[in-house]
Amino acid sequence: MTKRKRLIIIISWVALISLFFYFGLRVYIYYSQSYGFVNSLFGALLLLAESHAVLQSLGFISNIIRLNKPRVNYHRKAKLDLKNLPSVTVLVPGRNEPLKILEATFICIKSLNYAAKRMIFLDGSDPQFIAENQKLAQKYGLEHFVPEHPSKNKAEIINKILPNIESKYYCIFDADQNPMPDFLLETVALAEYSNNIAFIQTPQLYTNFNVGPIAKGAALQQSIFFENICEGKGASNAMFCCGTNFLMQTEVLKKVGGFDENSVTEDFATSVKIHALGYRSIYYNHVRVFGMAPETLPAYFKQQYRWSAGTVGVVRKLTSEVYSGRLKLSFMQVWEYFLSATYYFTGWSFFLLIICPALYLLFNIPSYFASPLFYLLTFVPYYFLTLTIFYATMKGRNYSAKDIFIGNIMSSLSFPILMQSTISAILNKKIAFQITDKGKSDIMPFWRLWPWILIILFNLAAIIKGAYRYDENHYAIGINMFWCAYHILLLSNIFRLNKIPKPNEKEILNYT
Amino acid sequence: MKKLMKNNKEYILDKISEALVKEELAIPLYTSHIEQTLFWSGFDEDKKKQILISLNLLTKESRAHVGGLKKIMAIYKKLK
Repeated sequence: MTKRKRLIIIISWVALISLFFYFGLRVYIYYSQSYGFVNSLFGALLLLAESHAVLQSLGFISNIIRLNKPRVNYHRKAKLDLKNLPSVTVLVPGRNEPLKILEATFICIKSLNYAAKRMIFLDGSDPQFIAENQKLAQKYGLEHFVPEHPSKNKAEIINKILPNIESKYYCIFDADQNPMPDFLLETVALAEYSNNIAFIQTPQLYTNFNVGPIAKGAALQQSIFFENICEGKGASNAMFCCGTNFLMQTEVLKKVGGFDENSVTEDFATSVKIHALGYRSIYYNHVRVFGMAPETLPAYFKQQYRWSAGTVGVVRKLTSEVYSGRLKLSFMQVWEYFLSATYYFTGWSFFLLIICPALYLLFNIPSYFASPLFYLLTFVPYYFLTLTIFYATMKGRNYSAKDIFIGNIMSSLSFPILMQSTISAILNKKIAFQITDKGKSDIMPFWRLWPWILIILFNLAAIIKGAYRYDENHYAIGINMFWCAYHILLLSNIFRLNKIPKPNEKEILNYT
Repeated sequence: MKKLMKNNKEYILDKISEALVKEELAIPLYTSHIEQTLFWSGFDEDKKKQILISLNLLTKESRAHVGGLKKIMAIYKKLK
């Protein structure tokens, strides 16, 4: 084990201890003091928000400890007989995609080094797009599948073609994903190692990040997910299918009855069922596919809304099944799925964390007070150690602190979208399937920025009131004013980011 | 025998056309993606420059291959 890895493990353990220490004392202080009803309510909400942050930190730190320990290599490959390769069907689902984007994907699919492949474009487009799409598919040797009745989502169109797939494996690439030529040879070799391997998931890497700050932020956020988090899930046999850039045994998908059509994150829902049948999933952290990030705020928020609502919706449905024992998952799988599903409550947690300092300054609620010494000895070590591990592990993968911060800004700005989507999921509202817009220049009208503007004004008012109240308690007022100012700074990024992206100097898809 | 020859010709033409798609269209796409990913690589500027030069060289070679493949294709097409 290298010196660096040993150091990260030591810091992770210290961070874990400081996390329990802080949280234990935090809960104790809340319960040991008595307040009025309103104060208790906001105190409880703040505690809930902090619990969420602590839970996600716990998941992250335990992943880092697990990943840095020497472990069995589960990336074993079978030796493939190139003259007798297992058959693979390559599926490309798409709906109303720009031809330029489709063409790049078709070129890469045709160029996959794999003799035993069948390629199908699953066209869920509106009628006016079909003829052009068909011509393009034919040009590159892809079959063109148009369902008899329009499919309402990706899962449905895949399920419609499923009875016609006879190959041992199938793989899916979204219409904006460009695989490298060795994708199939690599993933099939991994899958062939054991019959118990249901699917191999590879990362997504967005390469259009120089289009603008949104694409860059989304790419960074995606990278954070596909580096440490997915590797941790892979090590616990809890990596879920991300809907694109994966290879799966066709028989396994047929066994679980196809993709779950009631979810907008059909991949997540189906993965739970596959794991419950005792199959393994593998996360192969080698980029073999390049894709496109959303380039504008509306496109980015649409993607976040879909992922959040879909994931929370699945968990709502599956919790009772897991609890009743109808779906059998290991403890680590339940833990990892639980972490993934609760991640999207970050919106609520962030909202509570940004309004509480302002509420305190304006209305003196929640008036729970901890001495500066308590914060210095408990919160500061927990917070900074967790941040240190996060930045150190990402730095080890060549991400700069500035880049990671951009990713964090994007996550923070999504809070109203995540709050709205989790409510929709909990209330079981039907969510229409929408693809993430690619290559469209669009901004949010000013009036739609009201949630961010309202919170900024609220914090601004709190700072002014805080300045008047400063002499009451320098420490408490000062620290809450600091948080309000920080939140204003963070949220004001919404205006900087809500811009039409500049045309790319060297456009990726401009290949002709 | 003639049928076999004909099948072989079709097979070879098919393979040439596949190679053409790769050389003419896929390689510039891969190059473009790889160029972008240098941002994440953590390499210093000199190393990045070296990689970019090599990538450009490969792209140029690919263009030369395209010319060659088109000539071979024309020859095969003329064969009876």
